[in-house]
Amino acid sequence: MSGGAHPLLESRALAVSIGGKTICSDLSLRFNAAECWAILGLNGAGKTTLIHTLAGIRPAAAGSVWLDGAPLEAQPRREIARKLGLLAQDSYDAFDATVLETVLIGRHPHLPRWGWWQWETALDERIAQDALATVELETLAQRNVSSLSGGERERLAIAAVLTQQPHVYLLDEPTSHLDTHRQLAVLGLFARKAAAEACSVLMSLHDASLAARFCTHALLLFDDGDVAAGPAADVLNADALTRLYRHAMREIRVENLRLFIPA
Amino acid sequence: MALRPTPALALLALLALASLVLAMAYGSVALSLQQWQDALSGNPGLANDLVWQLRLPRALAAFAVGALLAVAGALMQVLLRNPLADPYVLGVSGGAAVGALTAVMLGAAAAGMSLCAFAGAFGSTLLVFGLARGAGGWTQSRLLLTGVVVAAGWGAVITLMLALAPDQQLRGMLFWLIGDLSAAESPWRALAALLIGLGGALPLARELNVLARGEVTALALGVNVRRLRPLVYLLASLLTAAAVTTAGSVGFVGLVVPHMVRLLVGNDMRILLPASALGGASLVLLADMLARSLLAPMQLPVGAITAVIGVPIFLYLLSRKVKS
Repeated sequence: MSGGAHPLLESRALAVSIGGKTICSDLSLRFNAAECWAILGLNGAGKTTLIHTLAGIRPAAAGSVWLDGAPLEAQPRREIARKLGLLAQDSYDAFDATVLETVLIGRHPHLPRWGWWQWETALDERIAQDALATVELETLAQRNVSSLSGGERERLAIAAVLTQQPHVYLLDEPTSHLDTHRQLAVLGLFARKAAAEACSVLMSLHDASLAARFCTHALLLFDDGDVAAGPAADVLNADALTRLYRHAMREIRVENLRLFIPA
Repeated sequence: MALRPTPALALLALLALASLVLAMAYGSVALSLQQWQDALSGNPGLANDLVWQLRLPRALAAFAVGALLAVAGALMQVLLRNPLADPYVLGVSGGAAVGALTAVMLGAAAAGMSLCAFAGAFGSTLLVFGLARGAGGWTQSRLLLTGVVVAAGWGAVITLMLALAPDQQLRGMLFWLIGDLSAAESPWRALAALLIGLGGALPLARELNVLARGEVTALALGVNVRRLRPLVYLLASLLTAAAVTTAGSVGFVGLVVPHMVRLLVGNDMRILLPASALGGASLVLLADMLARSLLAPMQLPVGAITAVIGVPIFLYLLSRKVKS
């Protein structure tokens, strides 16, 4: 599946723009197995747009995205969905559904295309139950989704993308609505997943300290369409973050943690 | 085909069967036990004609119309991700009504009326489809708004036609607008449309489950949303057109039945679609039986009865939902 020769996900001379605003103009990056990337930027810098483009659900202005050594356009959508999972922001529910039903949606690309009677197997259900246990929602499996809190919904969405079992994870603000210890748990989970299961994880975050703590790499999206990318140790520093957030940032060290705080 | 066996689905199938038997058994004329024996054993006579020539085709038409409308409603609700959507929300029945009323005013026979109704429904579908696509892509709100506005336009045309129509045609026109099975000629077209419609919709059921989670999630899970949406829209419109052509615009079945059925079987389209078909069939069968027998020998339009049953049930469900 993921031969060492090529990266799991790759952008080649990728240009992304939305509403006339350029987010990046010539982005060539390789996202390899065992790498966990943080995408940082101001509100409206284009984090979500870039993630959607990398997921192939939004056309690029120029350039291309490659998944597993082949361009996205050359791969059937269902095949892409078996390799690449997207955690979208704020999915709301028009109709009632149980927590377990919602998580099982993640099995969709793995089930046969034709044959609506092809229900999820016991194995699919076990994968879903395991994912619920991972985010500590297993006791709520039969609850109605509409009765969940914001944080519980976020964890449910995370469980759904885990159930999809991709090896590239594109996570749009996986920590939103979560309290501190759950933020740490979720980021730790994906950092471990990248390292232990040779996955590639890209996630948009708002907290540079958390990015420095959990991510191996970082991608900074500046307002002016400029981009900085590389190992987190190099890219994340007070100067770059000051420019990124247009507010003076300071780096302090507590034991082996690097923390970035507004001055 | 191993449909996951759910007791609720079996229950609904039993209900539909019982409704079918009831619709055959009751009507404006009460049959004696002896007459029933004659009819069932095929002895020629009044009872035989009544049960097999009159009640059976009408019951089958009621079955098909109810099932068509309920399935179309379930499809429209998930397509627009709006629990208040029904088969008529996008103007299909308005177009059909204008077609049918034009035929009445021109003095066309029943067959011509059906043809005009179908042409009106299909024309309206294409109109909304074309306008909602516009320059950009499809969005749920653009489709909904276009449909609602087109439907309002048809409503104005219908009002004008009623105002201009000669008195002796008004009653027939009104019955058509309310929904009436007494003019239903043959149930086979509607039954065929039901088979084709369910056959087309059921393979899409799991994709519709994914689509209900939102467009971005559906795209990310490999669903071809750009193809699925127009397909479901056309399918629901065709189901509606077949129902409306058979019985006029019977109200509330498409809105209420999917909601009632959801309470029983949940929101998984793989079960909800067949369950809606059975529930809708039962409701229209029972409503038409009441329409024929309540004020016998006078016949009431079935659409009035479905609405009388449908409105309180819907309000009850709505208030229950607010509380929980």
